[in-house]
Amino acid sequence: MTAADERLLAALRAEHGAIYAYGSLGGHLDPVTVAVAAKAETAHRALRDALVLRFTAAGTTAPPAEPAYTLPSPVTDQAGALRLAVAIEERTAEIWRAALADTTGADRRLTLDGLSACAVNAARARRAAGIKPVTVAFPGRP
Amino acid sequence: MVFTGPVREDIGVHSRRAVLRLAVRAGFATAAALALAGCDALRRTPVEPAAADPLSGLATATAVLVGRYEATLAAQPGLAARLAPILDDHRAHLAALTTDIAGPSPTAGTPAPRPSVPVQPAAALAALATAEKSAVTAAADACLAAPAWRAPLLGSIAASRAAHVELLS
Repeated sequence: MTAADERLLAALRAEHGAIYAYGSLGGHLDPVTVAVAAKAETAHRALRDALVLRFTAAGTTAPPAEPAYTLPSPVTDQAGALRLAVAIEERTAEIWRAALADTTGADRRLTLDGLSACAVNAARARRAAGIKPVTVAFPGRP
Repeated sequence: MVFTGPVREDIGVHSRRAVLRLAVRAGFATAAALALAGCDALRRTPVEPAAADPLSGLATATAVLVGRYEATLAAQPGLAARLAPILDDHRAHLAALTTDIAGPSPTAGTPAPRPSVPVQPAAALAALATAEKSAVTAAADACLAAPAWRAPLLGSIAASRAAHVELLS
């Protein structure tokens, strides 16, 4: 397995986790913010699908999602749900960013798409939560 | 769309200036080295001009973008809460790119002329969004073409700009 494969595998695991986490948030969000979360979840599903396709095309079986993931903190209200959404995006962005140096060509394009989607999702969630600053200069930089 | 023309012109002028500055400085350095080395060196040493860093164009365009936000903030103080965090990001990008580039700073020398700012706040935001979309493409292209060690920085800049587009819309 190449370094690019390892990085993209980590990205796929992160995307599985992100999709699971968004699934647990919906009940705590009002109609406006639930739309923000739904957009983010759709973006993560698209990234997951692109990664699965990439591994399948390379003749590798992509690992499926785990039955459940441990969330960093229990979610009890909308503010907590949005904080979790921001945390998911920031963590997933780190994994995508780390893949940039080990990828080239179509793999790097996919990696950049992943990093950009996380940055956009994080900005939307911060804006919905009133978190400042609403944007960061270097998404994914630890 | 009125504003895309002048900006690209600014970038082009600025880039040529940056290249000229590099060439002139390289020329002085070479002349000084040759003066120290003596006449033999003149006959033996082929002189190659220093090549511009591939990121110098992106850094110059980033400086122009910073100027555009500063001009908009000056003309539209009511947009400060929305634009100031984005301007902070662009300044951080410019500092990072400048640090990453060997050679003269892209902000040195004659600054690019300030762009005109639309009178209506909504039009000013739309003009920035157009400039920001072009900036996303420029950073993404640079990231895709970059060597491994530069790809994370450029990818983060492209992603940050993509978030700006979202916040301006």
